[in-house]
Amino acid sequence: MRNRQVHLLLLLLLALLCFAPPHHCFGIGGIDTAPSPAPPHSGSFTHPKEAELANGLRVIVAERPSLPLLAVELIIRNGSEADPNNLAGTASLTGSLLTKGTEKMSAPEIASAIESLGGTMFSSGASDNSNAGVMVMSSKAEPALTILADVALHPAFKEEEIDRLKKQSLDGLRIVLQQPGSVASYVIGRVVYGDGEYGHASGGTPETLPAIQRADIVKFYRTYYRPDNAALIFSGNVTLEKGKEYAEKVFGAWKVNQEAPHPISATTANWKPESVVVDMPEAGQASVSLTKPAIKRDSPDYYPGLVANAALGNGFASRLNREIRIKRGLSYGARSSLDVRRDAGAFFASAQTKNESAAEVALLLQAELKRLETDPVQGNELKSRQALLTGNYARSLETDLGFASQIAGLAVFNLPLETLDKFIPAINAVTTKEVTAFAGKYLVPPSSLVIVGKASAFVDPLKKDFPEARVIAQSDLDLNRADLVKQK
Amino acid sequence: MRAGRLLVLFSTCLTLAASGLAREPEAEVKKLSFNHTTLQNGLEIYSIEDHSSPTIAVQVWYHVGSKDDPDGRSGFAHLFEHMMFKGNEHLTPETFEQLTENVGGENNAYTAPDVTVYHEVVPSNYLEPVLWAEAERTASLALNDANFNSERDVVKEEYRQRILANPYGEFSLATDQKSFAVHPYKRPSIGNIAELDAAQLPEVKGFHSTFYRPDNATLIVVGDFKASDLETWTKKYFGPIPRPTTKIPRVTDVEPPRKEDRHEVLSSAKAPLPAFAVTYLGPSARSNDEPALDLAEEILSGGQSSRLYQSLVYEQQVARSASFSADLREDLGLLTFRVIVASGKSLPEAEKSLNDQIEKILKDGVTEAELDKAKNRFLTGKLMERETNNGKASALGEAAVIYRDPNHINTDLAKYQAVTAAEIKDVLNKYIAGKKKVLIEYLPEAKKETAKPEDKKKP
Repeated sequence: MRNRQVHLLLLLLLALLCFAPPHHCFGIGGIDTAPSPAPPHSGSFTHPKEAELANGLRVIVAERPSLPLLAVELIIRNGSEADPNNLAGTASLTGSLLTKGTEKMSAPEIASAIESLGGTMFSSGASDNSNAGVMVMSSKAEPALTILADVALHPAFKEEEIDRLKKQSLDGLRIVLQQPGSVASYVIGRVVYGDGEYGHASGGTPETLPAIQRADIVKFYRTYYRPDNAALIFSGNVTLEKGKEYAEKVFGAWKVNQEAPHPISATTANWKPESVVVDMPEAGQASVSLTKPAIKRDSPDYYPGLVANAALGNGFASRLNREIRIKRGLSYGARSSLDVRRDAGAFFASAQTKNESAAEVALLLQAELKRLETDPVQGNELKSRQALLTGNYARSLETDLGFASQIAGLAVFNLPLETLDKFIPAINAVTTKEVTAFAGKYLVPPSSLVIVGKASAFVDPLKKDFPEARVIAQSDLDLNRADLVKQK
Repeated sequence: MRAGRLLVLFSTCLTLAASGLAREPEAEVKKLSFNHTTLQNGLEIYSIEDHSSPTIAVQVWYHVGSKDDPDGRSGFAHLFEHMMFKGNEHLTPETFEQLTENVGGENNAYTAPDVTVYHEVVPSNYLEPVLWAEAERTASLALNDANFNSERDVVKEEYRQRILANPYGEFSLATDQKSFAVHPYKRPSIGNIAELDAAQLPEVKGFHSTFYRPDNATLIVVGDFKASDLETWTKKYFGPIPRPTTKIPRVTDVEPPRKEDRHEVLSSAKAPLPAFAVTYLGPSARSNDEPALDLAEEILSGGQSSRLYQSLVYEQQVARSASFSADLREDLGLLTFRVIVASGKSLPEAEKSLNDQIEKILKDGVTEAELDKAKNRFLTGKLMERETNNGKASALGEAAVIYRDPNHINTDLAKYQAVTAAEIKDVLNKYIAGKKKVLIEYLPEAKKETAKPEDKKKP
């Protein structure tokens, strides 16, 4: 593809600059400096095509005939942001229950039927979306799709299966709530979004899961699982015609419900920077994060934001990894992330470190956020992070499931399919000025600090720089509340 | 995912362990045609030309792993792997980033019990510089106390993240530690803090000269290149590296057959639910029993229709998770049943359920339908591995180094397809029935007193 070629040519120039030999000495074979890269080769990826069924279902097909494989994913454009108040986990249970029994097939029968085809089936509910899909050899497409349609259109939501899944989910929570990094991600949700639609845990909490009733699940399903709120994505050894034919055959009879989904709007307007420590006396490490509201998916600042974030915390050569991992040996890996959602978004930068180093890492994270403005991302650094983003993107399109998931990411937010082609040129067009402006607007102003770990090891040094930090004992942590503290 | 030079705690042969075959696999999976050359200094080179995308996967497999950790230096091979990124007189600590992620590629490495693998994916015009850089670090490393100490700290943080910050981290370490009596497979790849602290810089240099040599390495190149270029560049950059005259030391410890059952009890302040593992000694990955054991693994614990999921997790709800792994390594393998007990259920209840399932499969074997399902899943997995250059490179490296048969990438389908239900029953009986087991219990601290191991008769 042309854009990729342009991008690689730029990098060729960059590489020539990078490898000017710093000094001469003779090594093995007398070859002491890197040979220059050859001229780049061009590549391209397929353009997905689209059709619509009479019931409003979008059908999107990426024709990728090179291997006899097929990924099919049905996405629903709502998920945990639509969980009813105090019933965190409703979308997640609803999504997971699809494959746990239909009017015709039991959960074991569904698993056995798909796996006998050599396939794998998945279903879930998460933020902004729910999905059900299958990965299978393309020769088994028809039977696999018949089962996929059955689980998506005729889930039974049997009480027995609801109870079983709740128990399993609660046991899963018991385990993840013993891991400082996982606890931090739950806390970050509340710190950034408070009581808003994105504030609660998608997978539910130990208190909300038991409270969810079958009627809540059925209501969620009836409200959001509808053809005009969905897209069916094929990626693999299939044509548009064949995909449409399959879709018509198994999803054609899907009816639009009368009830329209009520619009969701999430806000982060009430956010104020704060410092929260969750004291886990047995934690083997501390998870340290800075976090704050950032941008939603359709923000015009999306691409500059990705580049700013990549310079800060994506890859071994990112600023956070240089300072925290490589220079000081304080962590196995530091990273940052822009979590963009439909109506809001969050930024976080984090690292896990030994408990004793938590305060030091908090200061280092803070310093690197500020440095994005004072020491702008430019020249080779800018080019290298653009290449990292475009390279990761190109590799994500190498597999059928990866390609389907990139399409799903657009369909969930109702973005045009041409956005797939836009990514590489848009990233490469980002300038130093835009990155610095993004940092100045979103990242440099004060953030919230979240540390989960053994507080006795770091709380004294921490209080010197974060005197307002409040410490919540693990046993007092309440993920259902914006203030995170159990009411006595 | 977090950035990090990766550590693989289990044998790489597990990556292929999802097994299965369709009726006419040749129709579905095309044979991969690869080239093989050996340089005069002993470096083995395997390559597959494929111009479907402008990228190339490069992997260097060194035949040295955590089983080769020096005495009293558990975790050393993995610590050493990290030092391979620190440069030499021509490479800076940034070189691999400059040649990979900074130009749109990626790089990483992992240490397994038998091998250490360095891998990159790059835009295809970067093949020559990456080959140069890989050859450079095969030839020499320039190390100093400052970069050694700081990287050791990174590895200690990796240990804390994987083991200490994970409620079942110490349980997973214990499986190998308690299961092997003599063989260095008992030492965990990640090591421990005390032995990492004890490592000295001169030992790093010694390890490089002992194991990082062309006659102990296999180069894999898959993707968009010309064969003539590859030949020129490998000769130019790897060719001048001398082959040492010393012998490469190999692990000679032989794990003796177990004389008695063992029962180990560990406790954890972090684990919310009890867990246990039951292990048996298994054969080498090169054993003829491998395909049948892999298919048994798939039937017992691949997917939600598998026996252990259906019985322990779904039907009886005594387990949060239940699995069986046939972790076959170069010298010998370990067959491991692992269960995390569901809340409200006792460890003895879960153990009885597991034993019932083991007895059942040993007595009645598996059905034709289960066998077909396992073969189909293997075939799908094999096709998915072929989706990327890196997937093909990993399969070729494993075939050449672990199986010592590069054509294994093309012959494994037929081998799996030929396995019968009777063979699966036989092979499970061969390694489990009447054999001595090690039972490892991992108990939440408060429950240490109450959960008494049941004196079950051995399956």
